[in-house]
Amino acid sequence: MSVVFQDVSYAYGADQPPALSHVSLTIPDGQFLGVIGHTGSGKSTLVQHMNGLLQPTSGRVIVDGLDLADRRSRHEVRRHVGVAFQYPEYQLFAATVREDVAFGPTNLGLGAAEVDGRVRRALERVGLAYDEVAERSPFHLSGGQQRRVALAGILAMEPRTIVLDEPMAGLDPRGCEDILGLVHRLHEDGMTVVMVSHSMEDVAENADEVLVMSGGRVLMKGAPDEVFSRREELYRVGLDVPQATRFQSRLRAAGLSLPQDVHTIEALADAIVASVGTRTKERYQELAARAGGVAGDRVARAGEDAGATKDAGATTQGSDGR
Amino acid sequence: MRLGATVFGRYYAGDSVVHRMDPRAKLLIVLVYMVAAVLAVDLWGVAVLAAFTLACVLLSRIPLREVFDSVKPLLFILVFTALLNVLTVSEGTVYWHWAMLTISSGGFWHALVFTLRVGLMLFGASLLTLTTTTIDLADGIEALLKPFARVGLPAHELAMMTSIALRFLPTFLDEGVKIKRAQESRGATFDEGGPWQRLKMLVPLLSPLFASAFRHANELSMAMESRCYHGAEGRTSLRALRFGRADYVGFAMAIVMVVLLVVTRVMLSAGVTGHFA
Repeated sequence: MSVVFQDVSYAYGADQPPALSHVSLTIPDGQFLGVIGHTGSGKSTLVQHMNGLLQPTSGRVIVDGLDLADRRSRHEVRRHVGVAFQYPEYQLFAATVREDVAFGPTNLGLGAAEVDGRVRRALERVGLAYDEVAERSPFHLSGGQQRRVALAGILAMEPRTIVLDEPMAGLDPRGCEDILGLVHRLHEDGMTVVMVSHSMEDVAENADEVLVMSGGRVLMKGAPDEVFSRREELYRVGLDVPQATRFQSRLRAAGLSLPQDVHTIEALADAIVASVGTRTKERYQELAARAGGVAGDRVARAGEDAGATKDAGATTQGSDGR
Repeated sequence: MRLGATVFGRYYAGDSVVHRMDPRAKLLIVLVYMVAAVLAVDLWGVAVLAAFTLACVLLSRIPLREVFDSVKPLLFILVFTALLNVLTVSEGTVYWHWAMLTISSGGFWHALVFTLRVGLMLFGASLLTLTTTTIDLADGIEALLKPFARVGLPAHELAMMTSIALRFLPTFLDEGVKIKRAQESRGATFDEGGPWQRLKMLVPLLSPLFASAFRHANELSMAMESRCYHGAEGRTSLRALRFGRADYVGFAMAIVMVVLLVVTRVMLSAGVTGHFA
């Protein structure tokens, strides 16, 4: 299910500046696209074009071969592209969680049994126990749970593409982790995911591709490594690189040799281990040469082991110990 | 995502005579204007009202189109009242008749005059909010209601409520649009199906909107309290209201309008152009 934008422009009013101008992009089936951009860069407007909530002032949006200029296509596409707005829990309305999650599938005109099955599956998918929450009022749940119920309401439509506008906004760290984990699983299950986020880290760690919006235009689109290596340009539009990348440049400035650019914590950890690891090995060899004889051989061997060890902590400790 | 470009009750920043008038004067004039619009039952009266309104718009230096745009969302009220008049009034030549419904020449006449009056009322009210900030408006309302405070009327609270209501109108419109879109994303349709279907669809629209209203109210009251708001008692105003020349001119214009209305009315009932009544 691909989403294609062809030279899309959109203005909220005839006398308003365009919120989107000449946006062309393709989101292939199964991709995880991260969308970043300064407030007012057109991210939310872009997102609302993906299931025809907004229609381009000029240009075309084509989802799975269907042109969204056509009213019937829009209805069809809404079955397959789920859009979660910012603070999706603000759309909750029903007396019970079950009814609320059932709203979407009921609108699709499905039978009671099918609706029930979908509600159960959707709640399970977002990590809520059906028996515990189904008959409760959504308004009495915690913020994080409400958000998950709202997402279940969208997943119950069983879309193939899910579009999330800042899905973690306003949640506590635990809630953020839950939602991010959920989004990650959805993508692993084969869904196409579009996630708007202010967190460069979340985007760097999860997205296959990153789309950078600025002033209603596409500034960059590419793999996270590619996008986050254009640091100066990101700065200029009020964005930043992930913390790991910033930390890396600090380490480089301090004289640590880290040849490969990294954008995630894991990659940074690996790079540090690699760098510190080789250093210690050299140091051991130096010591070995100085010691000489049998002791020197042993030190050199210990150095080999330390160099091969993955655990950075252990190796650095080993070198300090001597 | 601002859709508030054409919202009734919006303020249009400017520095015209009308903008600078004392809010009490503007409120009083609008009050007189409203009463006049209710009493002006013929085309001459409507003409006098229209002339007065036009003069005010010109003085306010707000583009006429802007005023039209602000009233546009309420156009359905005009259409509704016009239809009601056309279908229910039975005077003059009757063209069509079915049960209680009649289409007659008198009906069209009434529809025209009535719609113009209601339209002008909306115009007047809109001009007030277009030229007056909500703070000024609240100050004005409070000052005008103050004499009634002695008999237990909560003047300050009423004024505060009015200004908060005006302030949050665009916010709720925005939020309504957002909720509508969110439910549409879940396959809801608001412009299809029979009346029952449409009525049912109001729940997913209104219930989140109410929830959001309560949320806003809660947050706002906390924000006010944390800044030590405690109602009217012992509260003074940053700017003292004082009538100026512009205000007296405004009153004079309103008086002229009322006099003209009375004159045309008297002339009409004296039978000068009797068939207009």
